[in-house]
Amino acid sequence: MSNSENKISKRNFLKYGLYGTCGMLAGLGSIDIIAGEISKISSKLPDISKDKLWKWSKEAHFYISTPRGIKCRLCPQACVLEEGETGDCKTRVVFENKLYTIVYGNPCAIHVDPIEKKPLFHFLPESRSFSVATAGCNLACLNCQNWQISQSSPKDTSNYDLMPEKLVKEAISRNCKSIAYTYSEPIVFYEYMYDSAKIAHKNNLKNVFVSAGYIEEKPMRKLAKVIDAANIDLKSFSNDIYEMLNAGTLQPVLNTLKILKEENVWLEITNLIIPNWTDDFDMIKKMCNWLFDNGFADCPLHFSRFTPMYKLTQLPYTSTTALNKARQIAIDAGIKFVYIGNVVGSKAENTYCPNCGKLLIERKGFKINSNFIKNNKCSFCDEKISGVWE
Amino acid sequence: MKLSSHNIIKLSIIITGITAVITQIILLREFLSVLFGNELIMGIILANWMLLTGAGAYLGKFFSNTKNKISIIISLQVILAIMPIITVFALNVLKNIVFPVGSMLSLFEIIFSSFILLVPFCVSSGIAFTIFSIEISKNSNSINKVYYLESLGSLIGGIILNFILLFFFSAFQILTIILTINFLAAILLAIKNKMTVAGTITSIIFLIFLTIILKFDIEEASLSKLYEGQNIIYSQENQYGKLFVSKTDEQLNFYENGVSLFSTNNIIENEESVHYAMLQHSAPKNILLISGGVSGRIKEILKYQISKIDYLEINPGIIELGNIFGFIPKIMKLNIINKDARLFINETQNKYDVVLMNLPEPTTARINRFYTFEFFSEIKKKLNNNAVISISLNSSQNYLSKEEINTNSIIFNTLKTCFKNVKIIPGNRNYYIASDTNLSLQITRLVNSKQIKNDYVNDSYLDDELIKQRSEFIKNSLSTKSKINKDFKPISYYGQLLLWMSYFKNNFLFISILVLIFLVFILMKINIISVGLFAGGFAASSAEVIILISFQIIYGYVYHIIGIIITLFMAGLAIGSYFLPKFFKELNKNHFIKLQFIIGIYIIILPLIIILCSTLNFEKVLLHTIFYVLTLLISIMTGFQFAIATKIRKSKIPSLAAESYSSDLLGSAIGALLTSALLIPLIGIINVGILIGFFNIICVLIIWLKRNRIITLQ
Repeated sequence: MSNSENKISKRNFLKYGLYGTCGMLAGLGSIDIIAGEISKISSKLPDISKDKLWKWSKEAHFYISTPRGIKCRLCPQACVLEEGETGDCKTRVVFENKLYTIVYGNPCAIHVDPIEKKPLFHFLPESRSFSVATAGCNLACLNCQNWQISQSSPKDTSNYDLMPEKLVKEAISRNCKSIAYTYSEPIVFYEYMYDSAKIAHKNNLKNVFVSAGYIEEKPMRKLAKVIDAANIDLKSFSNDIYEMLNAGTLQPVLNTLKILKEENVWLEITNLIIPNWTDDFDMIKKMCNWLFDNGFADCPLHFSRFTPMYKLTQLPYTSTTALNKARQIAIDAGIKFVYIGNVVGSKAENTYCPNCGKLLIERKGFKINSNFIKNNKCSFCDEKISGVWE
Repeated sequence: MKLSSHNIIKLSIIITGITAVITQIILLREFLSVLFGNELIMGIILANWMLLTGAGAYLGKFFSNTKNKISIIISLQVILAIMPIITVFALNVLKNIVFPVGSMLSLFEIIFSSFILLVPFCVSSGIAFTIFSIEISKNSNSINKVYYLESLGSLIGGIILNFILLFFFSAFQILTIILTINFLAAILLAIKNKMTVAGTITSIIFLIFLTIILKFDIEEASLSKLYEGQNIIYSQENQYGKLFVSKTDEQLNFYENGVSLFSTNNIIENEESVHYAMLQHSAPKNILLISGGVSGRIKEILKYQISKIDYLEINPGIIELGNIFGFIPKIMKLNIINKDARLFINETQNKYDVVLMNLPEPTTARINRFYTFEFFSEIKKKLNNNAVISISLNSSQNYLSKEEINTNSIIFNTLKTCFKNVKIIPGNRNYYIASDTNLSLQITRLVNSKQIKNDYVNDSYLDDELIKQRSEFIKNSLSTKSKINKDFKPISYYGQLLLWMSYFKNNFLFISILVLIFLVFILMKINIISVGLFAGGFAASSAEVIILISFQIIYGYVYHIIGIIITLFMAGLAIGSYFLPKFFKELNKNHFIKLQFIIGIYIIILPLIIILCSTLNFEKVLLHTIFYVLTLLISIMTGFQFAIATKIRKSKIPSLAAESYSSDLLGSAIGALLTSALLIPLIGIINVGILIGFFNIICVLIIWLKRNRIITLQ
């Protein structure tokens, strides 16, 4: 007799399998209980419509119709989307042949922060900034500090209902001098930021743009008219690294820096030094030379310490030696104000006069212990110290 | 014993068993060190291991017509010799070549890369089992003998590794020993069978490999590639895993199993983890520090007028490292305790004012036992009035994803069931401060009033109003209704698993459905006796997981006892597969059915016995004995079941060996994976027992209904 006769028939197997499944389900009853717990946590979230458009949708500012679909012209990713599709940033959808933002008035993070935390050291020091962010991002950095927001769709995050007027009112009620569009990537909530910034100006609030600067020229120029200060994260000075680490490219970020400068927006630049990725001192030197050659000598440059985070957990913290070395390279290249961030008690938190070398602002954390800048000038030698000090 | 060719094959089988178990343990450690260590990854690697070995055993039957099986055995022995070392080297070197430098791998990447890397070794060892079975069973069916000899090898290998090798040698050194033993066995086999060419070629390959290993420091080469840009200045391997120290400029970076423990000059973490809790107490005197003493926290604690610090590490090697690098102050007030923290807290008569826990996230069952209701209750018994405890979790200050809300809610609610007040202080991590006395979020006010001089925890960096705002934001985000984390229903590590997977947006459900379809397909294809073996293997590996996890919870993590439990498991397999059949004149399907039924009942009762043990405070000796007996019982039954299965079915040896072995392994693989990663945290150990027990009893029912169609040898 063949071995196959030993086998149970498929029909019988299914039959017995069904009995078995019933038995297993009896035991698995408590899975539902746990699943119920998780969904209850989720049910605290605002009621979000399953439709593509919702209360927080608004027609996008920058897009064109092409034979291949709707092309977003907000950022260099230049997504071409068909009906119903969502852009790489997870915040722009095509609906009835038009491009809509779905992050208009629904930030998921709202906090009050010291302005120094952005970091902005030469802009309204020691003031508070009302900081907002929506879900989504047009980059995908492996070391993202706010990956919970940036790599999510606004439909998956827990959001506030805060239309521009209400946002401005809230910022005023919390005694903030500015609104910072920050945390994730404000470019993806461009329309919300733009409208809020206009209302903020009418209410004597400043607008701060904290971004990776991965945006097209036209929208950047338009936005610059309503922005008072910006901190642009220049993530590296290599196109390859931009592609591999951030899913972006270098040139558009350099263009953004130039535009902000031309449009007279107060600009500070951050460069995060990640071991094995962006700690090549030759590259840092090239970056600093480019900044100097292109007229950014007066723009404060912040070298920031890397902390193992998100997907980049198998790297060490940046050593302070590396940060100090980078700072020296920048000073040698002619950058006037170079700071080190995320290092407690570093002297490189202070502002020194680029002319006489005297200590002008002694900082400790987000506090200023002494300030010798008077009328935008060094109290000791009258050198003009760039910044928005009052 | 006369060294006949037949006996040399027996020796080869034992060596294969030794090689398999040592390679499995070493590779598992290496994978966890290079990738990321959580319960699911351990399960995946073990599942891949058994799946591939099973597939190898199945493929082995295609070699049944090959005339010169000895030459195949020699070739396989050579592969088994060289592959472990090559696999570890490739894993270390390829990690940062194939994937972005320093990045964590996604679930799919881990499944895929561990599968690829394990193929050569595991498939070869599976093929070897079937070929050994064919070779040994020339006269009569002796598949169970191969199973027995391999289990015996595993037993020997387990003892040698856990009690000798891991104490004296590094992974590469151990694998070099394995390489040598396997080559010698292959050469011996060639000589005994007068296969001069094969013997010469094998010897040459052996010499080439030995020269490479001795000439080049492949250990250093692989580490420096894995930690590119860092100068590895110290490494140590002990039974808990790998520890090493790298230097980047002036900074020292400490790693345990590939996970960064700390870097020097991390002022923020040192101060936050100590002062947020210490400041809450009016006069902290006795401090219990669980982990983190080496990084500089002791210096922070000494800013207070304390009497004593009891300091424990979950890996004693860290204290050794701290001493080597001079990071542990030599002061009378510091009392270093070399014991499992849970065991110590159970036994100590000391009482504390502040308990500072600086453990990793509860991503594994081993760490999770420090985050449970039972553990917090045990700690509470050892606290003075007004005492404060502190633990922390990774979190974003700006926004909590739903997975983070889940993990944070579980810990918050678990603490809340034991302490009247729980405050969250958001910093670089979320600090959970718990006490029965009032707690304050006015950190800077407390620092100033106590005149503690800090670099970071002070009013220059912190603002009480902003701390309050962020703390309320986190607290309001949490769910008060979330379940609490319990010893025998450790939902926290399942939550951590979901959080980790949310990094990669992997669809857990999709993966589970794929596994389920694959399983149903396999089960429909194989003989019903093999389905029984699958269920038995499932029960056995689940029982082993339950026993190991429960022992750590009830008693504490004591490496050599964990080693004894694993060793007893192997011994039980050997006894059950070889010695037990000798007591029976003949074995028939009724034995199989009865045994399967007993296994079903055993696995249902097992969690109940364990919970009974945890509630009745048994004497140490009795508790250990119960766990040893429970281990032996299931492993003897599993070994015996395998032996019966191979004896009662009428089939050709190659197919029989291939199918039986692969079914048993497949069941074990699925059992290890599902039980540890999913079932225990999700439904608790009692329900796991019931579920797997029912599965076995259903198999009994099916086999009983089909008993007349099972053709046996009688």
